[in-house]
Amino acid sequence: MTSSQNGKKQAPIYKVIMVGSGGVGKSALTLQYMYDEFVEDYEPTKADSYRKKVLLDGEEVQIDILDTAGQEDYAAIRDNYFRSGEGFLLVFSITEQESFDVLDEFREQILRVKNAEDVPLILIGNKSDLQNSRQVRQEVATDKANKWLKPYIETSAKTRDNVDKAFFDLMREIRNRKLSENNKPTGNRRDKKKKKKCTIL
Amino acid sequence: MPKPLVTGISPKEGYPGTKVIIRGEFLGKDEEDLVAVIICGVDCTIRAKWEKESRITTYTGFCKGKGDIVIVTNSGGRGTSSVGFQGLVKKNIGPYEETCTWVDEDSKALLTGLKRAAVNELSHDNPLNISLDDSSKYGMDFFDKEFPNSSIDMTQENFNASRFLLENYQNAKFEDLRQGLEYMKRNIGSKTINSTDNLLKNNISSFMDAIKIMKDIHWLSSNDKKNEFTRSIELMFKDILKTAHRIYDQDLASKDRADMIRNSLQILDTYKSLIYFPQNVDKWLKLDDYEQIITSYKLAKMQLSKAEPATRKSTLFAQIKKDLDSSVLEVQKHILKKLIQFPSSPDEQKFLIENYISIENIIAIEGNKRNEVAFNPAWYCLTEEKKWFIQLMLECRDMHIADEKVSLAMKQSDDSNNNNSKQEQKNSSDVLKDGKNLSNNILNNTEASKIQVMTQIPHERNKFIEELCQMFFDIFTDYWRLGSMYLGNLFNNLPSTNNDSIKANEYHGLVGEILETFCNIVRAAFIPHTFDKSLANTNLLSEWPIQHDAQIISQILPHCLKVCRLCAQQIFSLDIQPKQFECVKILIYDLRCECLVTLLSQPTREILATLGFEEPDWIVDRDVDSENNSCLITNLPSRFEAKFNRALSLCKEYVLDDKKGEKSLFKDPVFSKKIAMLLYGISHAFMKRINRFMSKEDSLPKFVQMSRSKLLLYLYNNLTVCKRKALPNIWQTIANHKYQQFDQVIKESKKNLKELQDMLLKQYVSEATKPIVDNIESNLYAGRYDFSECSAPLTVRNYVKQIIMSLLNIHSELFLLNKSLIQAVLTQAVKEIYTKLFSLFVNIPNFCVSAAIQAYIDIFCLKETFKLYTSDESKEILHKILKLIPSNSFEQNKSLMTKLIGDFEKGMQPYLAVFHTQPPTSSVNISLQSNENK
Repeated sequence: MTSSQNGKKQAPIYKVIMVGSGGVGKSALTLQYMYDEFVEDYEPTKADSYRKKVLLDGEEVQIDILDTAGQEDYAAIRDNYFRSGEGFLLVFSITEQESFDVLDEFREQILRVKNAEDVPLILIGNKSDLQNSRQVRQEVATDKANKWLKPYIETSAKTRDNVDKAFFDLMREIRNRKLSENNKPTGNRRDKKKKKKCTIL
Repeated sequence: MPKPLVTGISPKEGYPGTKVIIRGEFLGKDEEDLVAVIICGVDCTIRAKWEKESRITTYTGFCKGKGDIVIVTNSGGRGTSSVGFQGLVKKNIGPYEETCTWVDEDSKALLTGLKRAAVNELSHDNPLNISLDDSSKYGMDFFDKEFPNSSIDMTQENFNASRFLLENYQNAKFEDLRQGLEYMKRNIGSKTINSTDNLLKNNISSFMDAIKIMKDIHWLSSNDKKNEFTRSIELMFKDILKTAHRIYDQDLASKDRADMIRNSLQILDTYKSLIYFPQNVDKWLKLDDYEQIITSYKLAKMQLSKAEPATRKSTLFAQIKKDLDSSVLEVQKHILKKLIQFPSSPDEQKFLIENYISIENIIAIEGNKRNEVAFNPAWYCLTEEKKWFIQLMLECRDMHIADEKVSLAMKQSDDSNNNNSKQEQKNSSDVLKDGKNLSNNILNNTEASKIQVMTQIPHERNKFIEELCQMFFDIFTDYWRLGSMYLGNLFNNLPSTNNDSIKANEYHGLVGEILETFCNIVRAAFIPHTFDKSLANTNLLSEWPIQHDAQIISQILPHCLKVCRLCAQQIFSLDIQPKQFECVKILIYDLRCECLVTLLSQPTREILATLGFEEPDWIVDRDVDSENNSCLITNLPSRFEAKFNRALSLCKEYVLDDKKGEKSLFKDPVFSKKIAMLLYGISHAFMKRINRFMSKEDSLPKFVQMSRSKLLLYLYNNLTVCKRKALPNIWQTIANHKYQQFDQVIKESKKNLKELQDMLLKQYVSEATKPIVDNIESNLYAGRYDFSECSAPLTVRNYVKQIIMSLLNIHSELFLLNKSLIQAVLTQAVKEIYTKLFSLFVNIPNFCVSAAIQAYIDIFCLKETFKLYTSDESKEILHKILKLIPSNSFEQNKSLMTKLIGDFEKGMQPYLAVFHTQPPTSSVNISLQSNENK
């Protein structure tokens, strides 16, 4: 009520969760996106939280990024984090085959926690600047993404290559999902809401 | 500058003291601009480090729950955050956790930071900002030699630039060095002023104080020419020093105290289990958790023994130890108390005993040497259980005695109307006491009405023996198990002792006592006359009401024997030593003997009391022997046999077979003789019964309707059949059952039987012929017949016919009942008739002619009729009779005589045929029937 009176509307929040094994560059991507900075030192993340306002296709929205721990030590608490997420960036390092292989497990965990067939999700191959030590070929990654029916983006947190695209694409996916969810089961409810509003006015 | 905005926090949650990186926008232009960092409402400014406009690091304080991160800057004011921090709290904070939040000593809030802040600018590792060169050509020795007393530390007085350059930048190009110089200049230029300003600004009050102090000193020194003020200062300083020392000492003391307290806390914690042991023991005892107690106790003991000698000497420890020991003793007492709470299973007892021993062992570890003759809980348990066991058996007995008394009283009130019966009961009870001549005495009570229908309800003593044996067996088995565990040293942790044989003897003594008690109780209840009252102690004495009714005893005893034997068998299978088992063995033997006697007395009594007084006894049956001689009998012999056999089979079932470990019967010749007598008694009773019917001592029951002669015949037949069938069968059974010394019995019985039969036959004959003989005289003179004066004979006289008809009756009776007797009986009868006739004819003084002819015809006809039944003796008598009749007129009247005899034979033909047929044949049977029908 207060916000509508002030004429300001709380910008919608898109909750993004960074998922992937340790050391693939989740935090680097996040910091690059948030603050245009690249941190070379590696310090394992526990769980970091970021939120800022951005313009998504001309609309002011808030992006809330939860940067999770890749290390197995924190596997148990992941469920809680995943539950609150709306969109997921599944990050692997193209220089590390194993980080790519475990993504299936992550995805299954997400689907299980979200209890859904499908969630907004983008497959991210990070460290694209290190083409020399590449282990995961682009086609293989694309194949997996196609199998999941999800987009695949190769990024470089260091050069900021495709970083913005990754986040914005995911936000769009979330937005689309939200719209379709609102439309589908709540056709009636929306009408009712409108009526209610009318009476109040 | 806009308000600070926090957009990132890493990590987003943590415990107090977590290092966090705060990212955002406009977080302050520089270090000075940052005023405050507040996380979850907790001011974390002190430890906050401004790194750049978008990044601050700090440590979180003690905060709980989710909260905002607020940055306050001079330039932007109070900011907001789009992310929050979640403070976690460790749950396990206690007196032993160190949870101090340390304040960094190099924080600028401390005065020492003053200098460091200034120096930091200079003591940069790489003031020239060109790559440092590690691979120095020269060692440290070289530099020390070339540049003595010099340092490369820029903050030091003896800083030597040449050495610094040589050491650090040996290989740097000149250009680089120049650039480095430029960098340094720039750096210093930008910071020195700043830092001085900062220094002054930050510590303005300190400077002010310093200036004030200097002013004071200046004023004092100018006033005090003698420099005395320094003295006072000196004194003051000394004073201060003293105070400082004192404070320091106090601090030290309090630190020591704190250490001491912590130490004692630690010790208390270490020995927590020791101190709480007594309390815990109570708790565990309630739960029967002896294992816990033992483990704790063991632990406690170990801790005690491991404790340092100094601590061990302390009074507290002494107290603890005392408590510990006393509580453990309590536990032991408790266990013992539980141990003698019966009934309990041997497993339970074992469990308790083992626990007790474990505790004992732990106590013993301490060095108190285990006492060899130490208290043995198992033994204790055994003796206590024995006491309890015996008490239980006695209680069981007393209960049943009471029950029986009640039921007896009720019964007596029912019987009270009948004073007679009481008297009888008294008699029989006396008999029972004697235990002898039972059957003979019971004979006095033979009124069938006296014998009451026995109740099918199990007798009180049956219930008693069942309960007793069941209980005895149950408990004894358990007891035995415990005993074998005790003997076999099967308890864990029990040190084996070498006096096993003594132990075994003691134990077997206990077992023997129990068995003895059991036997005595049973004995007192069932065979009181064998119970040696003088030996047993008083509480074992029987108070059982004396059982009067022998019949009930015969019901009780076999059951008791059966139950007891079963029990004994089970006990025997436990491998009890023969010595202890002996009393049970004797008991069983006595019971068996008693039972056998009772069982075998029973049929005697029954036969005398009831046989012949029940309708089924008199059901008539036809018996055909091997020679096809048939005779009619009643059910008496078969009923007798049945009763006899029943007793035998009961004996067989309950008594006869020797079971494992039992003393065999019949080894004692006296007893065998006794049993043989009883066997004889049964058959004797049967004969006695018959005899009494014969001698009219007992009148026949009303429902038996038969003539005396018939009765005698029936009895005779019965005996015959008995001799042929029932008795041999019984003897066979007896032989099969391996009774001893019964040959004499058979012989005697046979003899008795024969005598009785002869007697019966004699009786019958006299019974049958007496009326005939008695009637002859009156018939002879019927119609005032006068031998001296009579008309010519017309036919054979009636008395002859009557004799014939009477004998015909006897014949038919015999024919029906026992054909084989016809010859003997009729011969006897005819002889008696002839004798009578002779005595009559002798007294006839005078025969007229007609009378002589008549008499001759009559006698002749008789002679002809009974020719088959005429013994030599009879013939002689007949001859004498004929001689008495004057035969002089016979010649002239021969035709008449022949005619008359012919008429007689014609007229009497069917009757005569009966006597003229050789007895006994089946064809005669039919003719007889037809004759009778006529």
